[in-house]
Order: sequence, then C-alpha cells, then structure tokens
Amino acid sequence: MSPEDGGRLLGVCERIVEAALRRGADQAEAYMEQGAELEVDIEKDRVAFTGTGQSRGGSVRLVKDGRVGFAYFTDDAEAVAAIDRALRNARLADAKDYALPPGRPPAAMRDRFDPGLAALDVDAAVAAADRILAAAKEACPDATVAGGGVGLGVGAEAIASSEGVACHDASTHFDLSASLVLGESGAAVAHWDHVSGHHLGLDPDRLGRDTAETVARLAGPVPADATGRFDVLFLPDAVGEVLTDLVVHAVMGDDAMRGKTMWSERLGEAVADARLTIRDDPLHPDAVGVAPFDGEGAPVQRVPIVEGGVLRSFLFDSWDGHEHGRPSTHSAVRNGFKNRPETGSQHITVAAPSPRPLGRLVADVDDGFLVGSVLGAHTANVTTGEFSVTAPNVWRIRRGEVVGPVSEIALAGDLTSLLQRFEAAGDAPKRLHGALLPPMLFRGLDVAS
Amino acid sequence: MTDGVIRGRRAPAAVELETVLRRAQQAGASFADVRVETVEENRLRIEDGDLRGLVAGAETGFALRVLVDGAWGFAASNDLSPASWRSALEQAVRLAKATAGRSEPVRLADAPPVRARVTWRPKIDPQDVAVEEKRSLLRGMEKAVRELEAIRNVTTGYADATVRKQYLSTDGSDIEWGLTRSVAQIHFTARSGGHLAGRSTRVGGTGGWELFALEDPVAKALEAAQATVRALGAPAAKGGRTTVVVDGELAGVFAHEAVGHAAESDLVAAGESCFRGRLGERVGVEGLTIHDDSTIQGAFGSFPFDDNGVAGSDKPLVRDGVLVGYLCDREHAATQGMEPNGAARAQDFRHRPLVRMSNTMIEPGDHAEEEVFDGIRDGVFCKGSRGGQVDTARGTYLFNAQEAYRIVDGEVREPLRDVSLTGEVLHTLHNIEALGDVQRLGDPGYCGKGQWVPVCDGGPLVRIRDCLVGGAAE
Repeated sequence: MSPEDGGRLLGVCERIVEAALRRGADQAEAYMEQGAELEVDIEKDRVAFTGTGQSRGGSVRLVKDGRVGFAYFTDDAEAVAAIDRALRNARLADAKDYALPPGRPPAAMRDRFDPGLAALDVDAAVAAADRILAAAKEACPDATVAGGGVGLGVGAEAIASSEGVACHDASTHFDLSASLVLGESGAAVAHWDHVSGHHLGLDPDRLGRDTAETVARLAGPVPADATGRFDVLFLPDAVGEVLTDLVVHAVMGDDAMRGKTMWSERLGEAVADARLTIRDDPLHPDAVGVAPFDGEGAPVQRVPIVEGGVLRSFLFDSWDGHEHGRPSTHSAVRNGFKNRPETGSQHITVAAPSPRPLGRLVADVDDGFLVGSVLGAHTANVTTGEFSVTAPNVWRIRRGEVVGPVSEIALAGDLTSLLQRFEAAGDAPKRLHGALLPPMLFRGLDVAS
Repeated sequence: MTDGVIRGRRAPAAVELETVLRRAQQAGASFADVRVETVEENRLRIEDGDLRGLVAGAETGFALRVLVDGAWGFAASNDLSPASWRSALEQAVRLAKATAGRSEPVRLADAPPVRARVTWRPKIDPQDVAVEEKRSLLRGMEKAVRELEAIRNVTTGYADATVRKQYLSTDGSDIEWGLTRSVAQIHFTARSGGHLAGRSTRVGGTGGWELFALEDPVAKALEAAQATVRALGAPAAKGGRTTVVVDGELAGVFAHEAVGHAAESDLVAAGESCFRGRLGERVGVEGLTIHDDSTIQGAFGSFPFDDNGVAGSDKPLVRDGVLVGYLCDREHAATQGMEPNGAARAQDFRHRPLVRMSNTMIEPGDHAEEEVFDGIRDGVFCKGSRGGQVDTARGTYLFNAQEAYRIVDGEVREPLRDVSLTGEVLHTLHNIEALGDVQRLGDPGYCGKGQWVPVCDGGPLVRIRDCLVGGAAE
C-alpha cells in the first residue's frame, strides 16, 4: 500500500455517494478503509508465530426524509446493495430531521506514513522481536519472555459525502510489546509493557530491557499489610487504566446530556484539582492513533475537557450534537467499517503545572504505594465513576523511598474524588495509543490488602 | 446489481480449498489448514426510545495457516478472489520460512481427521423475525424498567449472528458447521435523592428467537432495575478481608477468571500460569469440581467444532479439588503431552486460533442454599457480574459484583454498592467453605485475550472465607 491508496478509496466513496443519490437518498456519505498488518508473536523466549492479514470494506450512511440508514459491505460490487439496505433501514428509523455535516478541510498533521513500515518486512519485524528477546534476557536472565511481539501495519481510509466532505488519509503503525514472568509457579511476578508509533525508530532494546528490569524489581513481594488511606503514585499505564476510560465516559456528550454520567450537570463546575488540565488533543505532536479528520470527515481539533480543574466540554459527533442542540466537537470515531460513526475520544492528554521527575514524586510520599498497573479497571461503574480495582504490580513507598514490592492491594474510589486528590504530575509522560499520560500522585486513596 | 458504476474486485470463480491445501504442501508445508467463515448479523440499539443503530450485514473471509519446517505462517483476507488466495499462500509460506529453524519445531498433537456437516439450527431463525418484532421486545424491556420512578435512562440492544464455517486440513479434516447466537440486553441508570447508579443485564445464548421465551428479558430487566433502585444511596463496602458468598453467576465468573484462564495450555506453556507444573496436585478444597463445556445446549459459548477441527467437548479442569486438566489446542496439547480437547478458538477469520474457554462451570455441592449463609457473623453477599480480570502468572484475580448485600449473623441484610472481590487463585480455592446445591448459568458474555469470543459460565452459591473486598477505608 502507498499514501495514494487513500485517494483511490476516496474515488470509490465519491462514486458510491453519487449512486446513493441516484437511488433516492436525500444525502449520502460513504466511508472506506483498507489495511494490512504483519504480526510476529513471542512465546516462551522464542518467536512462535508470524501472521499477516488484509482487509477492505466500506459503509454507507444516508438520510432519507430526515431518517438515517446505515449498511456496510466488504466488496465494492456490493456497495449498491448496501445502499438499498441503508435506504430500507432509513424507512424503519425515527424521523430526526438530521442532516449530514458539511465538508471542511482536514487538520494539518505531521506525516504518519513510513514507507519502511508499509513494506511489512517480515525480516525486519523478526529482527525487532529478536532484539526484545535479547535485551530482556540480558537484563534479567532468569525471567521468561512469555509473550509480546512486534506489529506492523499500514492502512488507508476515505470519506466522501453529498455535503462536500472529501478527505482521505494513509498511515502506518509500529507496535512493540513484551510480557515477562519471573519466579516459580504460584509465586511468580509478571510485567507487560508496550510502545507504539507511526514510524520505525521505536527502540526494541529499550523495551526489552525496561520490561525485564521492572519484573526484576517486582520479585519477592511481601504482604502489604495496609488498610486505610494512603498516598498512591500511579505510573502512566495505571493512570490510563483507572482514569482515562472513566473520564471519556463521563464526557460522552449524549450520555452526559441524558443525565447518564456523574458529570452530567457539572459543566462549568470544579470536578478536579485546580491544577489539572485534561484535553482530547489529536493535534498533539506526540499523538499516536489519530487522523487529520474525525469519523465524519470533520477536521480534528483540540477539545478542552477539564481546564484548571473545571469541566469545560463534553464530546459530540454531529448526530449527538444534533440530538442535543450542540455543535459537533469533531469527535466522531469509527470502530471499523461495520459500525456507524459514534462519539469518542481521539487522544487524551493530562497535564499539570510544574511537573516533576518521578524520583521527586516518590520523595514527596511519606507512606504510600507506587502502582504500575491495575486489574479490573474495565469493571468500574462508568455511570457513577466508582472503581474498585486491584493493583498486582505495586511497590511500597516509605519516607520518600521505594522500599520494595508488595503483594496486591485493592484500590477503591470514584473519579471526581480521585481527581480532587491530585497532588502532582511527573515530567515524563508516556505515549500510549490514544493517550499521552504522565505519572500522577494522589493523596489519601482508600487501600485494602 | 451494480448501478453501472462500481465494479467489484473479486472474480466469480470459486476457489477449490483442496487445491489450496495441495499447493501449500507443494510449497513445503508439512501441515496446512484453511477456514472460510461467513457471519451474517443483525443489530439494533434503542436509546431512550429512539432507534439509534440498525445494522444488517454479512462478511466472508478466509484464514490460511501453514507449518513449514516447524514454523507457523498465517494469512487472512476478506478478498476471496483467486489472486488473493494465491497471495495469501505465498505470504504464509514466506512468513513461516522466515522463522523456521530458529527454535524447537512446532509439533501438533494427533487429532483424528473429521468429516462432518453440522448445523445447529435455531428453532426460530432470527432472520425470519421482523425488525419491528425485535424492536417490540426492546420496547417491552424499556417499558418495564420505566415503571420504576427512579429509572432515568434506558439503552436496549439486540443482536443476532449466524456463523457458517468451513474447515479443511491436510490431515484430512473436512468440516462444515454453523450456528446462530442471539442476545437482548439493557443498560439503565437510576437517580434518586442525589444518588446515581447504572446497571446492565443480558439474555441470550446459542440459538434464535426462541431463547427469549426460555428466559424472559423483560422480567430479567425489571428484576435488575428493582435491585438497582433498592441499592440507590447504599454505602460502599468496608474494604478488607471477610467471608463472602457469591451467587451462581459470579461463581461462574470466578471459575472463568481465576481457574479457566490459568488452565489455558498456551499460558501454561509460556510460564504465565500459576497452574504450571501442578497437574495432579490438590489446588482446592475437596468437593470442588470445575469444567469447561462447549457442548451445553443453548449456552452462549457452545460450538460443535473448534478452529483446529476438533470436536467441542466437556473438559474437566479441577475434580474434587485436584487439578486434572488444561484447555488444549493441538499445538499446546503436544507440548503438554495431552490430547487436544476442542479449545482452539479464533474471534473471526482475521485471527489465528488461540486456546480459549467456552462455558466454564463450577459443579454444585451439597449445601442447601440457605445453609451456605449459616454462621457468617459479618460478611458480604455478591450477585451478578460486572466483569473481571486475572493476572494468570501470579494467580491474582479481580471481579466486580452487580449487586452486593451485607450478611449479618447468617442473614442477608442491607445493600452495599460497587463491591469488588480480589485474591489469589491458589489461596482462594482452598478457602471455599460451602457450595450450594443449585447450579445457575450466568449472563452471556465475551472474553478478551487479544481477541473476543462468546462465553458463558455458571455455578452454585459459593462461600469463600478471607476474601479481599475492595471498598472504603473508613
């Protein structure tokens, strides 16, 4: 695939839109995506599997008499049948007087297409996997590299509509991951880590080494013997697990406007410590997993969610915006060609003034915990923001120093209280797929062990 | 119909799968298999009375897997043209050769070739049920819960998927099978007196429209809503260790998260399981029996054949407290010296098969249900599941309850909110004090392991001592 494939898909989209209008749609939008991936999987200190896949498909969303219909197809020749299916679905839908969004130029964004990745070179991918394995084994010879691997991908997408949307994009992605286990069955410790980017240049050696050093630091945990309120320093992955999903659910425009989230009636109110800023920022130069336009072809933009601790905005696509009389925040996302666009986040960033090195954050804790990751974050109650999770990869901090790993602890709380107990952020945010998150220190969280 | 404008990319000629396999062998494959999979689906979602998503569609794709010089190569595509098949074969062989000879060659445990044509036909095919009737079911669920004043927002959803698979291998297997799965679900929020709560529940399984006569989604939604409203404003549980009783659904999630994942032979082989090296050892109390059964009629995780072409089966994992088996695909059955037992599942044609669960069950014990609570001075009763997760290497698990109640002197008392349970598998299995005598199947669900597959689980009431409850410190 090449960057030009996006343009070719756009041509197909435009022909589908024309066909939809000919067949009776008042307005029509066509979306197409095409991609190929290569994965090299590690299992038990070796490359265990290599695989590749390719996929192409599209969908049509149309408006007929104010009603919306949607259908998808996997062969361009089925597009017309999909149009007819979408027209039939529109007849069953409620009349909403909805109109597709107008076309606008996409946002300016740095190049995210690396020809070196697009070639999906298996030898390069295997070499990267070998480097993860070698670096991990060198850093911690007793550990087993149980899983992980290398993923390379290339994709193109395009959207055209009768309202002037005409945009296309192509990008590549590169993912490295490692999962290490150390110790005997029943007393083992484990750690998984990963890095993602759009270009070659991620460092497999560093990932392997860092993951191995972390699992070594987890060895020999002692019981935490701690129930009460403690300061807790979350590393970026734990921030992502505990905080990001809950924030995004809390500000989904449709849910929020219907009163379905704990922040439904709090726009303009303080919901977090006054130093905290949370944005949906696809324009951040370090963003991974974004495109210049959203799932409806609108240019992506920076959306302030929380600024100075105050809730500033909910997220809307054009449909949810229309439902609630709000403008779209250009927050439509596509979960593959089989689904109609829906509101979602693009790239969540968290920032606070005067970020500090991790060591300084640790030094600020008299009695607490350093949490690397949590289990069960997806079981949090997204309506109330309440969470009750367990942290298996956790270290005790006493008098400003990490004194060693402890067995799992249970952490409980709710999103708003958590954000109000924020104390400080680290100065080295981690680039995750769809988020850029720093370490974060919170005071007085409920801990049980 | 082409409208004269849009041309397809597929040639009409069908590809002979036997020819593909023969060419794989000619290219050096000692083993090859191919899956061709078609999924036809219907989905609809209603938000507070408005039809938001109505989707009907179908996709067909294929996956080709080759073993060349002891290394795997895999290629998948939804382009069924002969050129795409040729390209897939070339790529799969090239990938396999790129990693061949670097480590111990992959071996596959023997599996007798199967030639079968099986279709689990639903009694009432959802394709024959009008969209309006499906919408009416969802309307009924919404109307029932809205009878309660505190219910504010209601989202209902319906989905059916009919799967047809073809599996052929160079070992001589030639299988065609199909089934249908159907689900109706509801999510609602309740708000009263400044208190807010949210809850989901789901009815469905492997089958068609008849499933909703076997278990009434309207009644189930109402029951869940009533419990949620009763719990509005309930205090958080006190964090710490205590005795808990879990209902059949949560017991099933425990079996799935804490035991089933640790018994997946790929994780065992990779050293990522706390059950590694423990076959034949006592891992739990006497009387505890856990198995994974993909043959349960109507259960959401059931299937006739796995994606290695092995028949689905009832797989004992823990029998009377002793670890007696793992879940095995052909590859990891070989490394463990076991037989494949039909546990290889792929999310769809885009994915390679992994070792997965189906319907994971704890067998009932001999305690009458009321006896399970006897003697608990101060504990927690947890009902329903909001999901769970496990770190299989350590054996640390967490799951969250939909409903929770305080137990005082053996009696179920006032509700608690947002209770999670956590612990270590090898510790908890020895702390089971009682198993109720009635087994219940939980809600249909999906299990994630890099891929999503439909699963179900269940069990009896289970009493566990010294369980860590996540909650407020004060």
